[in-house]
Amino acid sequence: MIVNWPQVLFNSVVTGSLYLIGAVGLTLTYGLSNFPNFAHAEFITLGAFISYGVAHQLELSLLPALIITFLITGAIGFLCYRGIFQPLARGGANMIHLMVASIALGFILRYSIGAAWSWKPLYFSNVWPLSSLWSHHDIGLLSITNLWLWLIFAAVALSVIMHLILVKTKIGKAIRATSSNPELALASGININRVIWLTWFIGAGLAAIAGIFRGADTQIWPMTGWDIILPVFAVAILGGIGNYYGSIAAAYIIGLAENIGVIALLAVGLSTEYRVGIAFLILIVTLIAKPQGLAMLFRKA
Amino acid sequence: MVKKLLFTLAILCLLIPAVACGPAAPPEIKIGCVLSTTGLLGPMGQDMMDAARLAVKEINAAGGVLGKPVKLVEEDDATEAAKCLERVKKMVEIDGIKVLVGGMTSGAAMASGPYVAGKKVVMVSPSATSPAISEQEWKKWVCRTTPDDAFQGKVLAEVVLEGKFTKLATMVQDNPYGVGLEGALVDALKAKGWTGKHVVSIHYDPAKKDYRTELGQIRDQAPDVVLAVTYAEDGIIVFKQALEMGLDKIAWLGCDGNYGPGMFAEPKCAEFMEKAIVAGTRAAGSSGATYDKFAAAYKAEFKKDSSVYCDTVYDAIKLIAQAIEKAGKYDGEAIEKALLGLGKNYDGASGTITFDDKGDRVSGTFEVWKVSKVDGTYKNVQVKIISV
Repeated sequence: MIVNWPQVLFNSVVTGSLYLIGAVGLTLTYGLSNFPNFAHAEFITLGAFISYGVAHQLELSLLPALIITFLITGAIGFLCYRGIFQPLARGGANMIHLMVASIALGFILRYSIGAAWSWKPLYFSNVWPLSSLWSHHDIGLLSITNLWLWLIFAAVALSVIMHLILVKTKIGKAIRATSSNPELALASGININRVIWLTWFIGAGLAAIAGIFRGADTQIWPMTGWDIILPVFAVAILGGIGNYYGSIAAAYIIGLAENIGVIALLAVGLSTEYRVGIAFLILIVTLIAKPQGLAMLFRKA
Repeated sequence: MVKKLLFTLAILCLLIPAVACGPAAPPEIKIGCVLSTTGLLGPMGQDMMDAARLAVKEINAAGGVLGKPVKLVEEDDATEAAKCLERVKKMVEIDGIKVLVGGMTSGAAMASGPYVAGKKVVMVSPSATSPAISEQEWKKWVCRTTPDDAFQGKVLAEVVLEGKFTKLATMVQDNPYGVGLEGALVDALKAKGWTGKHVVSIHYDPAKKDYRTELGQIRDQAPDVVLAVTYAEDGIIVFKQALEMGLDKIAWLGCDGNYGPGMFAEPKCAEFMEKAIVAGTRAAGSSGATYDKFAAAYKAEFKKDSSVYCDTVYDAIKLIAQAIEKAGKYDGEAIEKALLGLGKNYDGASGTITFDDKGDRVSGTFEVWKVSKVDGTYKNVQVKIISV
C-alpha cells in the first residue's frame, strides 16, 4: 500500500496540537487541585460556543474571538472552582467526591448548553464564509489549510508562552512550587489560593481555545468537548499529571499513534475505529513501564 | 403518629394512578415510533417523525382503528443502537406496545430485533437497509418498508459501470449499514462482471470526526471513484475534510445517508458535494399518485418538503393501522400475520410494496441524485429513477 508519510506526520502534528491545547489546562488543574476535572470537556465545548457567539454577534475574526473566549471561559472556570470545588474541598471532600462533582457539573453544563443553543450542530464556516482560514494549499505532497497552520502555530505559541511563564515569572514559579509541595509553598509565603484560582482561569481558557479549533475543524455541538476528552485525558496521564513538559511530548505521541494507527489498521484490513485503542495501548504500556508517565523524562524541568 | 399516617397516605396517593390504568382495556390503540430525532441522524429523524405524525392524523381523521383513536408513542434513540433497544423495551414494558415503527438504523434494528422477537412484538423498520438483517433468525418479527441495500448496491453498481470506473475506494461507517452497503456494491459489481479493482476499503468511526489520514490514504491509492456511506453529521465532516485534502478531483458516490438539505448546513461540504458527487442513490423517490398526495399533505402540514424515508415511515404507520384492523385485535402474532398478507401490491407512498415471506420488499425503486447550486442555494436534484 502506498503511504504518503509527510501527510501522515503532518496530520499527526495537527491532531497532537489540538490535544496539547486541550490537555494543558487539565494537567495543571489536576496537579494543583488533586482531582481529574471531567467538566474540562465542557470548558472545551463552552469555548466553541462562546467563540461562535461572539464571532457571530460582533463580527469578529479568529484572533479577537480567541482572546475574548479565553477570558470569558477562563472566568467561568475560575467561578466553577471558586463556587463548587473549593467549598467542597474545604468541607473535607476527597478526590473521589470532587471527581464525581466534576462529572455532575459536566452533565449540567452539557445539557444546559444543549438546551440553550440546541443540539443541531453549528459551523464556523457560516460565520467566516470568506475567511482565508479555509483556503487549502498543496505543498509538494502535503495538503494544508490555513486553519491547520493556525492550530499548529497556536500550540507552539502556547508552549513557548507557558514555558516562559512557568520558568521566568514569579507566578509561574509559584504554580510549580504549589504543584510539587503545597505545604512548603504555603510556608514560604505563597498565596496558594490565588495560584490555584489563576491556574483554573488559564486552564479553562486554554480548553476554550482547543474548543475553537476543534469546532472550526469539525462542528460545534454540545458534545464537542466530550468527543475529544478521552485522548485529552490520555495526554494528561501519559505526560504525568501536573507535568507541563510531559504533556507536550505526550500530545504528539498520541497524535502520532492515532494517525499511524489508521495506516496500520488499514494495512491489516481493520476498521479505523480502533485508532483510539492504539493510543490507549501506548498509554497502558508506558504506565506499566513508568507509572509516573513521561514526567520522569522531565525531572530537571 | 400523624406524620406516619400522612406518609402512608402520600404513598397511597402515588399508587392510585397506577391502579386506575392497570389491566383495563386501553382506550386507544398505541403504535410505537422510535426514531433518531437527535444525534448524527437528527435532521433526518425529525422529518421522519413528522411523517409518522401525519399518518396518524390521517388515520384518526378517518375514524381510527377498531373504532378507537390511534396514539403515536414517540421515542428518540439519539442515533445510538443501544439506546434504541432501551426505548423499545420502555415502550413494550411500560406502554404495553405490541407493534412499533423503529430501528431507524440497521444497527438499531439489529440491537432490538432479538428482544421484540422474544416478546412477540412486531417491529416495522422504515430505513434499516442492511442486507445482514434478512438473515437473522428473529427476522419474522421485523418487517421493512424500505428496500434492502442489496438493491441499492445494484443501483450503485450500475452507476460505476456506466461511468466506466475501474478503481474503487470505499469510505463507509463501521456499522451494519455502512459495511452492508459496501458489501452489496462489491457483490453487485462482481455479479455484473466488473473487471476493476477495489483499491482501498475504509471502515471509519462516525464519532471521531478527524478523517485526514483516512482521506489521505484514499488519495494515495489513486482511485477514480469513491463510495461514501455516511450519515448527515459525520458526512458533512468527511466531505469538508475531503475538500481540504484536495479530493474533489475524484468522482464520489453518495447514498441515502448523505441525501437531503441537512448536508448543506456547512458551505464547504455543500461546495464539495456539488463539485465531486457524480451520483448518489436513495430509496423511493417515487412519483406515483399516492406519493404526490402524501408529499402535498406533508408540505401543507409542516411547511417543508418531505425528505428521504419520510414516505417509508408514512407507509409503515398506514400498513400497521390496516394490519391491526384486519387482525381484529391488538396482538403481536395476529398483526404480524395480517401485515404479511397486506403486503401484496400495496399502493404506498414509497411505491408498490410487496413483501417476501420474510417481510422484506421484493423490489425497490431508487432515485439517482446529484447536488446543484440553483440561485445561490444548494439542492439535491433527481437525475433518474431506477427500479430493480
